[in-house]
Amino acid sequence: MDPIFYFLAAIIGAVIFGATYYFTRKRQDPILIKILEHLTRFYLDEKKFTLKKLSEELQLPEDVIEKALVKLEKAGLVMRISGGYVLVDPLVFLTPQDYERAIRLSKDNIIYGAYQLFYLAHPLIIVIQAAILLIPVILLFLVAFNFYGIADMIRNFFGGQVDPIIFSLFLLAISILLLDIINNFLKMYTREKYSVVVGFHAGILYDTNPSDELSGRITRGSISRVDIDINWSQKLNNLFGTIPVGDVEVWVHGRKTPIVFKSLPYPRELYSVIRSIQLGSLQWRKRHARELALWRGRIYPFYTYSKRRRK
Amino acid sequence: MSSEAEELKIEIRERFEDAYRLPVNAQISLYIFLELVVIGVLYNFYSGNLVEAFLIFLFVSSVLYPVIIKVRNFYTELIALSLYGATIFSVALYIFELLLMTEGGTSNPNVWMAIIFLLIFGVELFHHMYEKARVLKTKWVYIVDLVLSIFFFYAAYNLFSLIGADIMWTLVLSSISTLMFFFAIKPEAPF
Repeated sequence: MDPIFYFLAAIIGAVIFGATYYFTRKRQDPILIKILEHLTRFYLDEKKFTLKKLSEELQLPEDVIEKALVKLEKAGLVMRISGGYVLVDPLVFLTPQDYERAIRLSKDNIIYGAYQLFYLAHPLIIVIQAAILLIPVILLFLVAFNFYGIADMIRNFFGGQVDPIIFSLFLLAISILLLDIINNFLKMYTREKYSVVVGFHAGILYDTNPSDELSGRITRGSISRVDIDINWSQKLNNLFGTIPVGDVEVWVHGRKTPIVFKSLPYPRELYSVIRSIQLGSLQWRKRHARELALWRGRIYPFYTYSKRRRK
Repeated sequence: MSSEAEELKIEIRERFEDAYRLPVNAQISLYIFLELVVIGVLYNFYSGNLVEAFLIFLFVSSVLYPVIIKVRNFYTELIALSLYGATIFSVALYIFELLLMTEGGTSNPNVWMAIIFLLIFGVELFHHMYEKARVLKTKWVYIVDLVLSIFFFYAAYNLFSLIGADIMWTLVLSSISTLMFFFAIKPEAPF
């Protein structure tokens, strides 16, 4: 086929997907933002609110509020509990079940919660995943140029039934699927074992073993120092990966060695949170609650490429 | 302690991730640099075959884009999805052309391997380029995933039966591979 058809196909595909995104993407949802602003002003620190109460306070119909709350729930900003809803702190990166568990066990406002994502920047895991992906890519390359007669070997192996390039593409697809499955299993595994939670008054709570329920505890008063350590693989992940991670070391009075939490998401923010609870200075949460919530929910118009400081 | 508390100013940046990523101009420069490297390599190896060179260029651009460009706004997402559309349409056309040259129609296993490749590649590339699609848990996303899984089962069933597996093995292997496919593409928690 003439290459011009491929260029045309690319242009048509780009236009279709681009136009679909452009027309379906809500560039601004004033009701969502209005509700979020109201919630971050009056319902921070897990204060319960109901649909009816919110509707009365905002002077909006209940069905409109309900639709918005569903969206906020899907974005992880709001959680449904018995008797109503609560606003989830934006620096909580836990599943709803683990978030409820953390509130139940700590009996406190959770201002940071996350899993130790050791698999994100572990060199061995990166190497294994790269190998799973690279082997079929190399095979595809060898088949495309018929290096070492590989294409002929594959053709003969299947008795001429199978096209070597299509077979190589098929293997590549299977390896991508395998990679995704391995990633999902690793996520499930870390969720069972390695959560860390910071409470307003309770301090830092963490899992000490797989069957643990946040029994590890560092109270506010016992924290003497906090440090961040980002190694080279975490640094590379932070530059090019999806979630920035880093190790956070917490020095406790009376202990010679720090308690190290490995590969926690947004370590600089966690550092700030721990320093704040140590010093009892948490006003920044209320001051920036709206921005934090919008950032977390990826709600437009929060993301703009602009160097202007938002007031 | 109180003076420390007073002096403590936590600067919450608009975009938290900025603190961890390369500067925006560095991201754009690196992406352009890598694109030029890819063009150079393709010119060296594929100068006689424009179609395959174009496809590889689109594929590598799509894979690299979300890895290098970490700015999140309406325009970067628009570019990502346009690039995805260009890649998937071109790859689909290539597969279609390959199959046109294949004898036997749907009784040829190449057809079903190609369909399976398109299904997996299409969904995984979409998730790679548009992160929200990976974590969005809505009724319609689950319906689409279910429909794609049914297609996948049908394609896997035909493939295994054409390569000579008996009915029991065909059913078992098709079911296992379909479950794997559904598990991989269903919405997941971001953390």
